[in-house]
Amino acid sequence: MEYAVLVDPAKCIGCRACQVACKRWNNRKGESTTFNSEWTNPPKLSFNTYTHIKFKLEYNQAADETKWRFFNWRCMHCKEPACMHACPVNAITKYEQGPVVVDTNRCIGCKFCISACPFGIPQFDTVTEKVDKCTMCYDRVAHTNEPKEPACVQSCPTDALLFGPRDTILQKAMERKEELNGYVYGDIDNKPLGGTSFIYVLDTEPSAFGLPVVGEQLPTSVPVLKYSKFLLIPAAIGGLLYLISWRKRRMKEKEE
Amino acid sequence: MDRRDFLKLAGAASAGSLILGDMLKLVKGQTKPSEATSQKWENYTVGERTPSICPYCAGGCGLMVTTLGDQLVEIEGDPIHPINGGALCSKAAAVFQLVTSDRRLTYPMKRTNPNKGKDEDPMWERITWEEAYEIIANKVKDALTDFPYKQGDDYYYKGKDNPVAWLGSSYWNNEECYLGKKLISLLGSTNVEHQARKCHASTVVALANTFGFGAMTNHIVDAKNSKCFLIVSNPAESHTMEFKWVQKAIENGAKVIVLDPRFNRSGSKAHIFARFRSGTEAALFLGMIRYVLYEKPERVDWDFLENRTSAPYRTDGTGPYSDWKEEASDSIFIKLKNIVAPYTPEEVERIAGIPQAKFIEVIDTFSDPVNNPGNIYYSMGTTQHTNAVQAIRAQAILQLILGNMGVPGGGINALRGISNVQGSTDANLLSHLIMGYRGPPRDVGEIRRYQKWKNGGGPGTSADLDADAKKRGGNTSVGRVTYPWASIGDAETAGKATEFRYDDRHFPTWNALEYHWGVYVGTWPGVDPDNEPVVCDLPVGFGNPIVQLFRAINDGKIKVLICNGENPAVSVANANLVREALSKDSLFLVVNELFETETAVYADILLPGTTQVERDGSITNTGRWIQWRWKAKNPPGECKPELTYLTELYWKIREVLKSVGIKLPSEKYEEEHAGVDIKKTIGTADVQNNPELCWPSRFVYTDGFSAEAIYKEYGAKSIIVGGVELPQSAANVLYKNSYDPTMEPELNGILPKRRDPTPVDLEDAKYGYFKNWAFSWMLNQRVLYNDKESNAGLKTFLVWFATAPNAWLGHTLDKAALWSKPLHDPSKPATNPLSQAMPLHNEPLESPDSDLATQYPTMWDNRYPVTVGTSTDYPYVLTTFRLAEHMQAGAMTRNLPWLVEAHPSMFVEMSKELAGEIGVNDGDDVVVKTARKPEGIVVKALVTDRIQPFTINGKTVHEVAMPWHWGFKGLSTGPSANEITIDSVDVSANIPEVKVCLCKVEKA
Amino acid sequence: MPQAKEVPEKKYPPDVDYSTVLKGMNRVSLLDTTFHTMMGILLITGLVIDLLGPWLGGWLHPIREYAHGYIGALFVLVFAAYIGSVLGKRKTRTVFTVTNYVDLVFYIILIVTGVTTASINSPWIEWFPGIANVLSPLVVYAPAIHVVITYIWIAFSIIFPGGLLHGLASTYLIAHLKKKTKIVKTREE
Repeated sequence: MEYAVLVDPAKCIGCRACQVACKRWNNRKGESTTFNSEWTNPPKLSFNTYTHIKFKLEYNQAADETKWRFFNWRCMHCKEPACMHACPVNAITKYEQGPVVVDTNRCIGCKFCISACPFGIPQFDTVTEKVDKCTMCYDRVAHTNEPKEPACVQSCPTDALLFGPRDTILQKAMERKEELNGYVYGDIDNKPLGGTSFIYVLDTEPSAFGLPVVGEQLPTSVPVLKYSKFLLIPAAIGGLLYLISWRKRRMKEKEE
Repeated sequence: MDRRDFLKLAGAASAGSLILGDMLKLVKGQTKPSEATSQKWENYTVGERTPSICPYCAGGCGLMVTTLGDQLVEIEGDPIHPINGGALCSKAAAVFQLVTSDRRLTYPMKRTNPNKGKDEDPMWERITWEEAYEIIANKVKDALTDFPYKQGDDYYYKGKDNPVAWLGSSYWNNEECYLGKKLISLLGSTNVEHQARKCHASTVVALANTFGFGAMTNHIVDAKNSKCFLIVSNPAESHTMEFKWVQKAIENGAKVIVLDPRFNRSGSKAHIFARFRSGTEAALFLGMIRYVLYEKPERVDWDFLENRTSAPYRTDGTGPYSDWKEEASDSIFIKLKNIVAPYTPEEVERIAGIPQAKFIEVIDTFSDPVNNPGNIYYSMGTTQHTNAVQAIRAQAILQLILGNMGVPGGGINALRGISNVQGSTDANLLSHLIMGYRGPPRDVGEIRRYQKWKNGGGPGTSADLDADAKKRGGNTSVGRVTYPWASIGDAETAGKATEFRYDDRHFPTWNALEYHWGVYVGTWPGVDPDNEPVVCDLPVGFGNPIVQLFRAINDGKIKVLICNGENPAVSVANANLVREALSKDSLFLVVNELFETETAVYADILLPGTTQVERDGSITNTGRWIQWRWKAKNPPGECKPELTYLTELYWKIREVLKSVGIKLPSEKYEEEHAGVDIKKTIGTADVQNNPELCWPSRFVYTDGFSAEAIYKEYGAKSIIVGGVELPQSAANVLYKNSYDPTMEPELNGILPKRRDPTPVDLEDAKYGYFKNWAFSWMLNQRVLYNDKESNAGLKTFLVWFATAPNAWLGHTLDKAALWSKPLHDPSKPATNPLSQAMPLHNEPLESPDSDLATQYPTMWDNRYPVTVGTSTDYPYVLTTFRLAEHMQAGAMTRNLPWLVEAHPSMFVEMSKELAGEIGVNDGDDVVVKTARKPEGIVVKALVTDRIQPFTINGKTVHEVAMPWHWGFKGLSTGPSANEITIDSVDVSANIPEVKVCLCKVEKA
Repeated sequence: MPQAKEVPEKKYPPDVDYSTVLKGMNRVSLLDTTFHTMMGILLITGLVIDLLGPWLGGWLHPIREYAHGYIGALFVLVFAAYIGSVLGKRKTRTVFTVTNYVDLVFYIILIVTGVTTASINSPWIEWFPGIANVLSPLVVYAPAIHVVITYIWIAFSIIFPGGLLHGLASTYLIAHLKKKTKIVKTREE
């Protein structure tokens, strides 16, 4: 069965439980960070930070109204993951339950996935020289009997992250969309790379949250990368033809 | 190139095309296996699960610990726990790292550098536990050698003069807190304090005087029943799981109003957010009361006021009056109405800087009947002020007026800070209480009266009196002097109602302690208590509250301080003074900690503590649930469980003290009076004054050395000695009946161990009390003062503090007190609440506006000198706050990389306007100066719209705010906010005013 | 004066195999050998990674890291020296064709994208913390460009004799030219 997670920033209180729970389950190191006045810290995803909370503060001077948005950010776990298609060593697997996982034993650190991902998710580690990213806790989720929710979802106090069968989650997303008069990102309103396993329900435009516009198809660079090796075929044919003609010419020369 | 080469090339090309053919496989994408696993998952599935409770905030969230042998696999939220249901906040999610941290202390150490100071390396030397105990015991012996056990002819220790002091800890389990209190009391000291003084001391005074108990009235899970929240706190950050339930209420249509000097993470979820200047909570709430009483009288719950409060009575105690709502009645209600009259929206705006329209919107929403029941959440923002008691009383009165008390979804909810701060407060690790909010004997007069009470009292035959005296361990000889009043009626006739109330409240606890601690309190032989010498093993008199304790150290009066799981070098207001005290040569400091904290740097002996998953015990959360923690694994290295540490420490101290003749006063009496053997006879049993028999608990002899054995005496329902049941069996009256061997035999009768989330009845199911889960004081009542709760425990108001004039109470205690125990000082002007028993606004000691300071003079304990700055030198208001990712003084979070990365450094938040005025950019280093530290502390500037300037009394006032978690030790270091906060204390609760002072901010 | 070796001017191409070419090249210019050897290694490892990835998987990690990565880094330096020496000499410039100049463009693209891709690796990121920032806009495209350009270059150099064939041919030519020069010199003597 396919599962999904509903991300509901309107319910998020920015406590970063997900950020820490993720590090705990996945045994990730704490990073050495510096003061960040925005509070998003670690400021970027990394090999050791699969997920973090982004903080966005908006202030309307005239109305003296403050909006402070927090939202969980990590791999979207696309249906057709660009990273997977870009990987030259098949180190990335899409599980039928939803998770897209990098097998770091197979990873060779070529960074093709980094360049392919339209969300900027996979992260290269300079110590191990490998790439890693959120696994959607595939070791908890990808079981035919009773999957266990990902660590981030389990830890969320306000159900701003909700795990369940994809159909149920989509239904919930529709309900919340109506309540918020908002927008669903990841499915329904748009389907980045065929639809994602983490689905956002937003009270406003995705751009307000800094979410990129991603088409349903793989970004052009991925098939180009993937199919470029077929240039070897015309090259081989061309080379063969060239050699044949060259040999003919030589034979002729010899005869002469 | 010849033919051969050519063929080679051709071969390569064909091989290449083969590869290309294979490549088609790639185009289809990777296979999609459905089963996955990892080492962690494998370990997790086979590991053993042990439930525990989170050691951070007082929410009481359940943890589920998975272990493989002694290897820790996972610590996650307990999925069946009714509070968190598997969820955790960032701190709780990091408990795994707390337990496994390689920064933990793992063996005892002693200081070898004789110089003490912030920058002095202690030059630790590893020692054994036995050596550590020996050193400590000898230091205690030296300190107590000339400490008088005899005052005139009476044998007792003066608790305050005792040179041995004890701190901590709210991070300990109840059994450990209880044993700590037992230990220090057996040394004859009331110089015992802990975190609670700094956080909710004012709550205890204010709420106990209004309702009966100084505790949160409803549980955090009860928030789901609320229709409206008035939050003067920051639960999203400080008590994250609270917001799980607020969120549920929001989904049910509840409104959230957040009031705070700065916009915070709770504010981000508020329907209405309003700013107010720090220190003006009392004005705000008095204004709200005024608004309801004058503008919306139809919203007042008149029935509630009439039936369940003192409103229809007069302050002289007469009543109830039927015309209590009329001016002529001069009722307490009319007094209240007159007192709040000046707090109009205009005045509130002038004082607090909250725009009138916003203020009206706030109270209009909160008091609107469609939003009933409404719920007030508050914490440090309200409690850490010199007028905190007034502000909290004002909140409480507002809830009484709206009838929001004693109902699910209502209440006034003091969010306690540390995991077991409610429990440690109940165990009274405080200088003015002995156990269960019962005071120690204050003078010999009380002890003499107590002896009479033990001797039996009231009308009756001699046999009845004897039976009474036998229960209480008193004297049964003919001709003994007995207690003079049999009932409150008798006492009132004799004009002694106050004494009677006091005795009725305190004596059963002393009696319980006599039995449980193996001590003697009374006169000897007890026949003629008025004239015999007093022999009292409990320390007499109140000790030094926290700020004064460090002054006493500075004066050389305290020679040994045993500090456990507490970090005063960071957490106490004006930490400079604390650090100076800790550096004194005259002080011998013992610190028991998980990490080397800022306080530990000053220690002479540093002992390694254990984390909460490494020991058994009970813990009381902010909503008064007593829950059990089970030990999941052994502690690392030589870390000793706290119960073992306490037990062994006491044995050693006792042994060394006895060797030089330092003993309990009763033992000294026996020593000096040949042939005297002081013992009580309870029923048919002789109970010796001998702590050895009771240490750590009498139950150890039947149950073995365990947390259970200690819990049993702490919360027993019934203890039968010599054939009679003790008048109070539990050492702590609040916990009585929580050990009941007739219930849950498989849990050994310890009800806090219950883990059944199913409801006990339909009402429980409807409101979600979870009455089968753990136990709640009092008597498993889940919503305090809820007279409709089924399976109720104690459901009435219980205002004991009926000191003169107290007659209005009549014979019942069940009235909430609009007019409370007067915090009475007739010498103060009538505008000062010290002369009143009703709240008023008072400016903080450092007020930014001199007009307001004159009009609303500060009420503070001015017996102790405090360095005060003026608004000319220090124009900005400074407040402190907490972050979700850090805990209090930071030892348990600033040592964990997972939390440090989220907030790596100390900062100060300021408005863009202020930043513009002083030429500071976001991220610059700034110096924040106050009168306590004119050289200031250097921190990062966080210039943000979250803070806006106020208009106070017509003038612009800037406020800045800084988190207070930082110190100079740990993974993330920085200056402590408390180096510059003010140490002025409230007059009735002794809580320091850390939430507001004046400062100056400059570019570094 | 000994009789000079007979110059097989008429015989084209001469009877040489790869080892002769390499020996000759090595004798003429060490830089040349290094350049071509490295280029060969990079091309082969690159192709192995891209073509055999699905089968070899994690085995390729050290190949990517050392054989392709570190040698690639050295190659950048060798390339700079080599191209300097080649373009610095009139003699060598004269044998440059359009194909060679197009090749140069390919090399530069491969080098820039290669360096960009590697810029977030250690130790470069520690040594040149600024480099990743400067190249960061390119990071997203660099690996794709690197691979695609390689294949285009292979195709290009086979169809328009550059690259592989060019390498072999020019190697031969250079060796040949050198020999010729020597012989010319000998004659002059």
